[in-house]
Amino acid sequence: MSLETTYPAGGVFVRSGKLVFWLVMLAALAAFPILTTSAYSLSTLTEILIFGIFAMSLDLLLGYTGLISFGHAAFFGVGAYTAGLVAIKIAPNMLLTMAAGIVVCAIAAFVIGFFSIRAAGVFFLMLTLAFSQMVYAIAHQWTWLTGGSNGLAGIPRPNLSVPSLPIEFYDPTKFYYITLGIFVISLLLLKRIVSSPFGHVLLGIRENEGRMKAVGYNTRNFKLAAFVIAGAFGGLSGVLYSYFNGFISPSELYWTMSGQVMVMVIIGGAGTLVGPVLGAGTILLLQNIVSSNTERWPTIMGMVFIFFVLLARNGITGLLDKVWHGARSQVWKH
Amino acid sequence: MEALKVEKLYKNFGGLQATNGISLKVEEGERRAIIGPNGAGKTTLFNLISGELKPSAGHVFLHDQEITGLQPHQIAAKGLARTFQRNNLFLGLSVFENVRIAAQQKNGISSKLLSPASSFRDVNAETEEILETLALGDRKDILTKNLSYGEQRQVEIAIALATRPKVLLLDEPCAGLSPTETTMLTGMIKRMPNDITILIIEHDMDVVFALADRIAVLHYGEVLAEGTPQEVKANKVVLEVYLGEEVSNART
Amino acid sequence: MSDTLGFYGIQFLNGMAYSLLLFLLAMGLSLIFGMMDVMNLAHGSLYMIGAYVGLFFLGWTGQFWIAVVLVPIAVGIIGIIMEASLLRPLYRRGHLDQVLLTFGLSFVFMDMVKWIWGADIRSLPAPPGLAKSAIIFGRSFPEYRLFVIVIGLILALALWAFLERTRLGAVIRAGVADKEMVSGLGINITLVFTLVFGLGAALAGLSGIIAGPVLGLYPGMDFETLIITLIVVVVGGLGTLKGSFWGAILIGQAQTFGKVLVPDFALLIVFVIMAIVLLARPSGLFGKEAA
Repeated sequence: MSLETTYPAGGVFVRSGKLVFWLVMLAALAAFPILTTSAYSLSTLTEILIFGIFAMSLDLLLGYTGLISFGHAAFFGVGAYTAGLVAIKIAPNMLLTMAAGIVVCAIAAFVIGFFSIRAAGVFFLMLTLAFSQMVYAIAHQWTWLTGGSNGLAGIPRPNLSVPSLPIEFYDPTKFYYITLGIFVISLLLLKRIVSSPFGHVLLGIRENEGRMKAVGYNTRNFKLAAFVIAGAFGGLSGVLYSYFNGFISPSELYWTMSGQVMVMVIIGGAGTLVGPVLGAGTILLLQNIVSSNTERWPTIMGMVFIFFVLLARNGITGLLDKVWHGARSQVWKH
Repeated sequence: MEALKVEKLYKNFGGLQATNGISLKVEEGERRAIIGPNGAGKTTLFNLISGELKPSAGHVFLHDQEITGLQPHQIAAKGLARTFQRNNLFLGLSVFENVRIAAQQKNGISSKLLSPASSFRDVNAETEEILETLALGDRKDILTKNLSYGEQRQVEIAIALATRPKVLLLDEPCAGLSPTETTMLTGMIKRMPNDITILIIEHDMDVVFALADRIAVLHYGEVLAEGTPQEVKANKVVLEVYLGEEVSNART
Repeated sequence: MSDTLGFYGIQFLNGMAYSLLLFLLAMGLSLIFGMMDVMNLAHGSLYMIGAYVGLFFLGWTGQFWIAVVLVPIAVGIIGIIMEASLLRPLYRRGHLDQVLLTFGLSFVFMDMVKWIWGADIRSLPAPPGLAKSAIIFGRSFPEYRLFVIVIGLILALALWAFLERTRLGAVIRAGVADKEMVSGLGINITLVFTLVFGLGAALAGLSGIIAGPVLGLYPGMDFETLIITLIVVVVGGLGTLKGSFWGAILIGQAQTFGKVLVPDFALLIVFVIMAIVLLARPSGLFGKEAA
């Protein structure tokens, strides 16, 4: 499948056919609503795209910067609540709710990041976890604003009031295309970011932060910037989720959500952009299949995750790469 | 004007006095070797200059500007680069990328978010040039962890050089290299531009005498002797405590 | 006036009971981390398992005190199995993978407990001898909570004596301070790791059953406890008994008083304390400098 690599400057891998592959993928995604009549599969694919954005945003920290954030659900939730509240209290305008969600998340990420990034390694992990639980507690306790444990219901469907461009969200197919468009834009933006000089600084921090300081980088600022960008994209996925679901509850920012997106990134393949999307797809499809047969989904997800941690640390993309390019490429030797 | 001036630098770890009032003046463009037995405080001195450690007392000036107690990245940004005794590289990235990351820092493009790194031609050209200087041109696409130890030693220097330093600290660049590799690397250091001031810690006396304009001998955290290679060679105290023993070691 | 004093006095005692439970949890987490650099994200799960397994032993034997003895043994064994079978193969690979593994386990444990005991809130009755209330500061205060305070202080003292006065304790302290040194001493470090992990798990299990009659048993107690324990450890500083103790007292009291004085902001107070401590001392009140 993808020729993505953890180590972008490798140059060992084969490039031919890459563009063709992506165009075929995009065409397949675009043709999906025409090929299927199942509302259920369309809705599942929409959800996968939303969680794909969410997982990619976490991977910017986890796979590219080497920052193990265990509280990424905070941004998903804050994005969703912000969009929902703006839609209810101000106006259900798509551009307005989306901008509000992204900006509020970027600010939240700045504050949380400012404190968390002072700490290294496991301390960072604990702080992000603790902060996200604080956000959860706020959503849970401030019933007057968030609806508390009942959640925020009755979020009106947003609209895009541009004359002569009627976009509405009631039709699942149209909403799917909007989501697909935002997904592609997010993927391209993140792709640009990780291959930019800034993105390469993040890789340097992942590999050896001490040496980055020794060559003159104020690494703390770069980590904070990465945290804010990841928070903003995480928020964007939350905004889309609020449109998709029409209802938000505090569980959207509980630790299980942070855990689930972490699982998506790791089993998909950290340090690539396709990996997290594949991970999101795998987890959501698996969840759908498992949940219709048994209630033991958390056990199964936990075990699948443990399997990947123990035996396939480079995730699905790592496995695919081994199978497809094993003989030719040295890049994945870890 | 001195490129680097160290004034009465003290550092104690618990009760241990690692540097005991070291003072040094290094002229611009000078090649200064720092020698001394193990535990003399050589690497500690480098760590104090580059900001990895904070001195207990004393001052460090880089081109007459005080840098005492600044963060490593602040000192590096002022034009001081260093290499490490133990390889300190970006092992999961290609050789080219190792050097390019350092080069882009100086070029001020590191906050560019949306243009591909490969589109910055002058940074890439500069990286190529430094790789050629250190004879790494044909190794540039290899992951650094797959290089030989000797080649990694060269990358270590290439990274420091890519920051375009005014003052460069080399901490035992030839440690662990074969005699052939040592000769080659010594030649590379010798060919570095004259305007770079170089301080080099080295145990191999052939390397020291091949490179150094002046030598400072450290002993128990103090400067025992200082002078041209001839003066140091002739210094009886130095011969007694250190050089004799070291020279005989180096020859065996 | 005396009534106000009584109110604060009672809350202080409540806070102490809670703080000492937190101390037992934080101590286990902190020792495991100090020794092996593993942040055990299943630590809250072990606490939860302690409470539920306590419920099982209580139903089986009918004796609270027998359950109190059996639970730490059972949870300690679970910890030892966890360390020996899953974590040990990962020691060569770096700490992140171990953390991720414990995280995966926390999902499995959470679901297993729900599977076996259901999702309803359960209660663990206090032992008959301690079910009444005593009169303190002119108010009634459950005897069982006094017992929690006493047992907590005794255990704190015992842990201190163990770490400071025994050979194994000395090895553990040395291991926290300098791992290379310990392996240089010719000590079987693998065995010490397993024992420390088992000890940490046993402490978590013990605090689970002891907390049962006060805090109750419910799904989600695992992570709630993990978070607050992490905060205690962050605030107090990793790897020292002193840090865990004072961190637990500070956070336990802050949360108890927060809950009665400003119920809406109780959790926030705890986070604010954490933020302030971290700004002033990034490695915690009693932590070693620079992690």
